[in-house]
Amino acid sequence: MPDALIEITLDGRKLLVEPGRTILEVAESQGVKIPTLCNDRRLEPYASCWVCLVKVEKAKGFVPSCGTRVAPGMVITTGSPDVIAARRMALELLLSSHYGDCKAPCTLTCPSNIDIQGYLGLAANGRFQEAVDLIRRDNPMPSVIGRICPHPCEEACRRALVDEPLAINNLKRFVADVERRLGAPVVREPPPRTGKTVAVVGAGPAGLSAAWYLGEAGVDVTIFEAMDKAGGMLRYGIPDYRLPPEILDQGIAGMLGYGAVLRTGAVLGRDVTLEGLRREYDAVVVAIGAWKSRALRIPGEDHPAVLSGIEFLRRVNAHEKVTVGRRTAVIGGGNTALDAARCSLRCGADEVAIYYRRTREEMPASDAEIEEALEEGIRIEYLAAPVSVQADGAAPLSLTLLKMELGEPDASGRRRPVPVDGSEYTVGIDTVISAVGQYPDAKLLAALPGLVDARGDLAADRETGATAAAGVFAAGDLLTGTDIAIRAIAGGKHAARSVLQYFEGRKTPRPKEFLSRKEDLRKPVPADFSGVQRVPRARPAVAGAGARRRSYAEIERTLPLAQAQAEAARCLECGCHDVKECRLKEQAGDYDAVAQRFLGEVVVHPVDDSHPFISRDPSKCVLCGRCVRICLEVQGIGVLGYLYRGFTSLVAPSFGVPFGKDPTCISCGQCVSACPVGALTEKVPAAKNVPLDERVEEGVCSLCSAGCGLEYRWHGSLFTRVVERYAPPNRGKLCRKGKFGHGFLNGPAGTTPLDASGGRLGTAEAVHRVDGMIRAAKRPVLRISGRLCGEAIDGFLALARRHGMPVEGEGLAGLDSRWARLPVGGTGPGAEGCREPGAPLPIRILVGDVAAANNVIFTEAYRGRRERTADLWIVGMDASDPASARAASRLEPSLEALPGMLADAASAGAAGGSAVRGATVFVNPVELVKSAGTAGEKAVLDALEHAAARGAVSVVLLWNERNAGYLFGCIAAGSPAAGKPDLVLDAGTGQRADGAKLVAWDLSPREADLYLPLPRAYWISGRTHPSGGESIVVGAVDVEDLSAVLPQA
Amino acid sequence: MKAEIAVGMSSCGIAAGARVVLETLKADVAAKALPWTVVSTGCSGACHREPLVEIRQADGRTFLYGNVDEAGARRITVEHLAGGVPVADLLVPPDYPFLARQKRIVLANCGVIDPESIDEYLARDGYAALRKVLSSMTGDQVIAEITASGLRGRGGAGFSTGMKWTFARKAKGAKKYVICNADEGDPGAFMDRSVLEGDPHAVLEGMLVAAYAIGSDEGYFYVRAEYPLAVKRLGIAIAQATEHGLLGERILGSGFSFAVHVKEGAGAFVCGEETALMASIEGRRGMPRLRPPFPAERGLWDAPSNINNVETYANVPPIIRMGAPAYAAIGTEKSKGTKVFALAGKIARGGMIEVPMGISLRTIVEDIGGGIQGGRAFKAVQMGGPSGGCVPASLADVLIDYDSLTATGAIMGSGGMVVMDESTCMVDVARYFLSFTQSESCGKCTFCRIGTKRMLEALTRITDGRGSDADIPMLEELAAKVRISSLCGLGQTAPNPVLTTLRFFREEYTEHIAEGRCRAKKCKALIRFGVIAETCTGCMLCAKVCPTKAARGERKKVHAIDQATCIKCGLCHEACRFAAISIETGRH
Repeated sequence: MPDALIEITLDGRKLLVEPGRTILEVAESQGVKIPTLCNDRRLEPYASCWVCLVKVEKAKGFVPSCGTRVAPGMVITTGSPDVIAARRMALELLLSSHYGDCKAPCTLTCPSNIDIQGYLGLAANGRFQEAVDLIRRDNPMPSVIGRICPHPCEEACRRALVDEPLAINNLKRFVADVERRLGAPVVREPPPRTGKTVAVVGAGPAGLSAAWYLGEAGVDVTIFEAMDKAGGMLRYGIPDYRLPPEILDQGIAGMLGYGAVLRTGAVLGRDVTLEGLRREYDAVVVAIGAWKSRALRIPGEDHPAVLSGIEFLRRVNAHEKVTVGRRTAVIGGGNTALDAARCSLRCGADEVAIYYRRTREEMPASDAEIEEALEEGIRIEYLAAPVSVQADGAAPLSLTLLKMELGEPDASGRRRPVPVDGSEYTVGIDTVISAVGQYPDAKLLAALPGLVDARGDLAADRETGATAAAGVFAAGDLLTGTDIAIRAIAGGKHAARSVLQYFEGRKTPRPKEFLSRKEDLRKPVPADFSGVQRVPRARPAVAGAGARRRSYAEIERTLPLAQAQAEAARCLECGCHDVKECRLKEQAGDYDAVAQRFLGEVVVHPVDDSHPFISRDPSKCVLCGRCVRICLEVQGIGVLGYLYRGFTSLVAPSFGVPFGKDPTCISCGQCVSACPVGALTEKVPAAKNVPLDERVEEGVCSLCSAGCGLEYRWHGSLFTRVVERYAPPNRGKLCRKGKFGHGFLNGPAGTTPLDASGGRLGTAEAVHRVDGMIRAAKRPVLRISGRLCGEAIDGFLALARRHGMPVEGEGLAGLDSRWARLPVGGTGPGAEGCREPGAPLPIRILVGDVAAANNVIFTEAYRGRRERTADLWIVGMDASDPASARAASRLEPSLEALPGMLADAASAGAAGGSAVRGATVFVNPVELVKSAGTAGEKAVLDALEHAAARGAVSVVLLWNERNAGYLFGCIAAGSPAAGKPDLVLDAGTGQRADGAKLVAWDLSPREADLYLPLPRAYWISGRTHPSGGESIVVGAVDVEDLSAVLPQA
Repeated sequence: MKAEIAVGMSSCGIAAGARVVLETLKADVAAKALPWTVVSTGCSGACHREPLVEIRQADGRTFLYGNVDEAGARRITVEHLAGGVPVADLLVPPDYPFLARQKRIVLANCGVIDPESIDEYLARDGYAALRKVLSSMTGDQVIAEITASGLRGRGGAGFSTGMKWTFARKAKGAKKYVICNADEGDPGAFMDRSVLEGDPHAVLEGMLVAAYAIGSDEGYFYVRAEYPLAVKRLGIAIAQATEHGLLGERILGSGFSFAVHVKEGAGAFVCGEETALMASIEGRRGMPRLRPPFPAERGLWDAPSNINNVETYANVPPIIRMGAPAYAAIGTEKSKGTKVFALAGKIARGGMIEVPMGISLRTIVEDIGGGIQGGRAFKAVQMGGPSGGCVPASLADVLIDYDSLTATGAIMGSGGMVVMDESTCMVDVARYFLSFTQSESCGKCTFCRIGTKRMLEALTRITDGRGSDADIPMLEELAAKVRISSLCGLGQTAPNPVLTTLRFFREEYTEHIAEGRCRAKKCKALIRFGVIAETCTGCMLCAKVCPTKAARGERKKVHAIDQATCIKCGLCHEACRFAAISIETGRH
């Protein structure tokens, strides 16, 4: 009889709950969210993190809800201010010694927060399309920005502490150019339309970006552009030698890919009005930029030979005929000044000088552009401010300047230039170009009634772009003041999001995300990276200064493939691998925790990368103890433990040996799945380890027939990892192979479908060919290994049914009753597959050290015994080991006892009414040889085969690293099909086909790995199977071979 | 009566030189063939007078000698033993106030009997309590007697011993354990060590009674390995008791059997916490776990277990012997019996004392302890070690009982009592105790592991002269949360020294922060040494002792101290015979 329900009060609500449950469990079931870091449903409550604390009336202090069981009359408060404050403090204390970057500094520095680490990693792993797709989430014109961005990200790159920062922008350009050259469509799947319409005013980077992100959300967008062509400052402010117009045109075409309509020549205030747009569209985004040059405010500047820099560049970029005098003086220090100076050369000037009132250090123009200008022969005069332009009626003009010196820093932090008395000097000049800043056109602002303040400046929320007019949003230079293109693109992205929120009736600003940053606790120093090998930064080829001086041809080249991949591999991977799933990050965000509140000593440990599959970063560890406990209490191993005491306490492998050197670790990955933060993370089975958004494919592990539930995680075509599922039979556990043995999915075998002559095949074609072979055979037979997973066998059985093919096979017997039974020696139509429901297996016999071969089977068999759902017999294992003694209902130390055990199992099964359901035998073949010797092993195998043949038991030979290629499939139960087959379809048994044509199915051409995987497509390769037959390989077909179309180093 | 010479041979005596005294007495008595037996005994408590030698004459008269060295031992043999005239200047007077106000129940045998002799223990009613319970009492009756005595746990928390035993007796389980917690770890506390070294059989007997009462047949002594003498004497006691049929199968012919093991702990402070202690016995890392389940329900190896500390068990045999009413007559209404304290610090007469509950703190400090050394002003008493708190001199009339002490913010604790005078900086005291608990935190709970670290850093900032106005609120905020958000007593009590010093000595904190002043002149960053020109004679002594040559000057001329090289070791101040070295504090 179940225990009577008890009454408790949870946050003022009276509830009837089952006794014995913890407060946390009860709260969860009531939809009350309580954060926790140390609680793990696979483990007993522990109460170390104290993030889950609640108040219980009459209890002393706070109580940990994870470990406190409900009691009659208990009055629990989970959300009072003191509880919230205490939880926040717990999180802040943890954060004060959690040393790591949630996201890489490059990404955080980027105005649009592009996932730079993500795309660099994808590029390093050869997943170029995925890299571009990832960039496009935050930057829809990568090939354009990849050419012109002054890349503040690279300033922030940690690699500068080792050698030089990553060539991030060159890599962006590289992957974007790969896509461009492959001609891949930018929009592959148009989104469903929402029926909403938005007008965007201005087709510069901000407007185009807004149009892209709105289009992506299914909004119909019309862009109104005053100029003849779209592009804004990208087109009219940046010279062709930096950004070729065809690249820009392609970029813009891509940004209109969601179907935005572009109407050029439409001037705000003349052709369209804000009121009209508001009437016609559901929302308006205004992104009209800042197109007016700031005046020099010196006498003589209205002389016709004094040009506005931005106007000059517009005409040059519009390919109008522009002439300048022999001697050109450019005033200013930004990129516009540099561009104007360099274009002056290309317009025919012989001497070009830039006058800037501070020094190079304060110059806002990018270093690369300054260097290139100097190379082209442009002179830069620092600490010089213009005083007047004198036109004495005849050319040349003269420009009078004043020498400056640097004084105290001003509001911008730059040192203020101070005139040096009596230092005037005059230079002769033909043309003056002023480029000292830009601002929005007042005439256009006047056409935005209600959006400007008393001074005539735009009034809008800097964060959301929202203006006083409902549904009207501003973006780009108009909102931010003149800035770099990627900030305008970010502005368009934010405006689009604001519009979408406006459509949903929400006004919330952009959601705040907690981000842990190393700088907040302790600035990284070169010594932190002492183990990193120095590799020089990749440098793209550039045209020589002489050749480019008068040319508008693009100066810089795209990096070649090999160099690009090598450069991407230099990335230090600063961002945390657990960033998408970190519980600490999530809870810190939920509780507005501030990492610096309890600033103090931080113990920084080196990252331990010695383990083949797991990366260990103790500096991020929050000492919740989950990994320690799961390793010891669930897996029975105890690799990880606590070291030291007090603040210096550390979780590490015993005696502090490197993780990968601990011989007891079975690489089950349980510690990784238990870790709530990024202290233990699995390595992506690819060249570069990179945290990415993942697509989930639920599946059943195909590496043995235990039937463990898991998730295959992918990012595009990159297989990232396997994550366990919490359902039976494995309940959140996996063995080493299940957790880390799927790396082959990223291997070369998983890429290209070939037929025998090396030609590519599609899936349908591959299946068609197999069908043809079977049809052509007189007596085809399907032979299936019991090691295959249930779904695989299902698939094969379907094939057999289709062809009426007899089936031979071992008994399949997993842990899960759903996969309980494979009919042995059955014929095609009768073979119903492994989904046939079967009763839970009453007896499980473990032969040899099964725990070593497959910990999941061992622990679950033990659980079956504990929970009385199955009997557990163990034979051939050390009987003095208390674990096996506790586990087993019958323990026989010597393998000689096996035949007797099998007989007992058979009779137990017979007594139960069905011999076939009697027992499943799990064998660790390696242990068999170790403990029985070769002769003994044969006797054991004979006994097993005999029992299996009689149908008395099912046998599962467990596979592990050490018995790779050994013994699989040798225990075929049941008799061969009548008549002699002429075609044997061999699914993983690895047996020879005497006299018959053998076609082996398998996933990977690696000889040792006879896998059969499931969720993948089929194709045929011409490889030879180790057993001598033809091999039909099953695997993935996703990534194109790009090497042929890319520039080579 | 036999003529005996007893030499105190506990760790304290040995450290003071008792071994030489013992050897000298033995040699001299043998050489002169005097009719005296030289024996070893435990600690009598008057540690400040060690080595102690007691002359027990055949006529029953006793003479106690203190601070006996080799020469003193010779004089005792010559003058007293051979000559019959007591050595007056070495005598500890019989009305010595240190002893006069004590009430010795637990320590009754300490310093009296030879702890390595079961016969001496038996001669003083040893194992009578065990005989009594085995022959005439049921387990329930024993528990009723202990409950009626009002005995509360002497480990610090003061939980009713009778109630604890009741839980363990009622717990279901064929196998039950009895554990003696001898993991004494408070800095300055040595009560358990002295009892184990001085009267091990009493503890063993108490444990046997407990085992009989709850129905246990196996027990553990958890003794820290830093107590080798206690471990050794416990081993001897166990062997002797086994030999005498007082331990093992069918004890004294009854149906009660008991086996006992000694587990030496590796010195982690947290292993004094019961669940951590049991984890340590089981071979795991000593880390506390969640309670409930309490040890009485699920303890060692998951079996119901009763765990008491050394002094609690040592109280059991006297209670059984004298009966609960007699015992309960001692002490106050809610705190019965006596309590053993280790009196240390700036006290004139330090040592181990046993006093009846209800005595005032002032009586202990002034009468028993003789007040402060050197006549300086009495400032505070730190009670209960790092888990306890500081009772200021203004509250010295507080009575020694569990509840009155808790009301001050301090705790009874296991018995550490560190007396402080005006030269003690209370911020520095808080910092010291917190640095102890911080480094002894097992690392499990967030608040204890990191919270105490951040508190310690704030205290260090303050004592280093880098404190800010934000530090005190932060200390208070952290202290408040750490005490209510930690799993075990270590974390829950770690903020106590900070909280009590903030409560009673807050102005010292603010002086450090706002004025850069340490009134005790302890915090090096806040003091500077100088030379008082008027009194300096130019004797050059300061220059001679200064390790960094910061103090210098010419003979017969006023010296000076170079602030840049002075490391503030204070040697000059100690060395100066003319009080010409000043210590200044506060911002200039």
